[in-house]
Amino acid sequence: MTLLATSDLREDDPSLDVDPLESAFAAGDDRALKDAYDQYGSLVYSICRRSVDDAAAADITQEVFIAAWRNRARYDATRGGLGPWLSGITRNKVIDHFRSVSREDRRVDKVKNTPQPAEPTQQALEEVTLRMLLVEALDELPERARNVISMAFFEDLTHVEIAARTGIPLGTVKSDIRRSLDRLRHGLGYIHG
Amino acid sequence: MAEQELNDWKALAQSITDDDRVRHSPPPMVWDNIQAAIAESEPLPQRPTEDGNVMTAPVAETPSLSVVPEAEDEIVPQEDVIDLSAARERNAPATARKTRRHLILAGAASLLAVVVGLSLFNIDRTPTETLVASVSNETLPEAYDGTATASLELDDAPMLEISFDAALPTDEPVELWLIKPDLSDMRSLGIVQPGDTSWDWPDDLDPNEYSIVDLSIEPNDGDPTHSGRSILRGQLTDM
Repeated sequence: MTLLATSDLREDDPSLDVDPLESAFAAGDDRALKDAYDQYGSLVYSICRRSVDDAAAADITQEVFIAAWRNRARYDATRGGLGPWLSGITRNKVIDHFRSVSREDRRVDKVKNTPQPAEPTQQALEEVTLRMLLVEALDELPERARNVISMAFFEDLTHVEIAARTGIPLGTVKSDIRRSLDRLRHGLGYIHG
Repeated sequence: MAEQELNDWKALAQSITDDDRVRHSPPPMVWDNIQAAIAESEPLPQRPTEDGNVMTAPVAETPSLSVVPEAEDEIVPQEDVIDLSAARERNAPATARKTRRHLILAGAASLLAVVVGLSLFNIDRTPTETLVASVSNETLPEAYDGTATASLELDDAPMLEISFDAALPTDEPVELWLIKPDLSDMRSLGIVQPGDTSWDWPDDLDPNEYSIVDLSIEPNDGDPTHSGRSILRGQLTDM
């Protein structure tokens, strides 16, 4: 119990919550791009794959990371994580992609009969992106917090019910949920709300 | 904590679908292209060596793969768009298959234009220069998990050499073509056998004219013309 309380206190210290990758990326550390790609490449690519074929998804993923690196000075970790920032760039590139495809369709009328993927609305793209980011953000929570928040989200359990079911003290359940929501806000920042 | 906020999160979480959990890994060439593009725009800084001298980044002596520029940066006149089906129409009688290929290529036309835009041709060439094609698959309709570099030494017996950085697909034959940029003609150098890396340049072909190197998947269907299923393509240009 003492150990738990100690670790709780440490987790409450916001200075310990700074993601080293986020600060390295903003600082232009040359390994940070590779780390960012390793961590978020499949997220970006998978978001693309929801709207475009795999070849276009590969092209867009490439453009996203190149644009992100060139504009890294604009990344502000206080507004959200690198994941949502990259996802926002992805959304814009996907929209650009459909605009350029439709321009090309007009120029080359031969392709009129070629089935093209339907252009998603901006809102639909945003909703998909938010849900995919939430999947990531939930996965990244510490295990206990993830279990607690999952019970609140997916089983509609109250704090008291979660405490009763898990044996975790009520105060700890509350702080787990509060801290988890902080992380989810960061994990969906830039795009959410 | 605001009850409303928790409820908003719940609603979002409960709307997560199985599709939202699916993650695909991007193909390896994506990272290679990102690295190349970054390296091109931001040369590595000079770093002091241990003895305090400044060491400059090594300069490649032979050209390596160049990256296709971002489409939005490239202004390519519409007439430069490669549409192999157009050449095919001139070379072969109409077949039922043509329509389908025509559409595949037309669909990729905007991307192919970028590849053509890679290089301009200089006809003032001395006979011993080397031509280099940078061949990239990233804009072509069929998958090949790598890139290739081609070179042609213009001497008495010109040889076209291609180095591949990944194995070619083996389930269907791959054919090597030389194509005029205006698509008025193309010539097959035959099916690529495993391990093949060099080909005699046909005596009667001018490298200035047949400057596009193309590899395509050619099903064993008795149709000798280009299938339209290109996996790699590049343009020979002065080194």
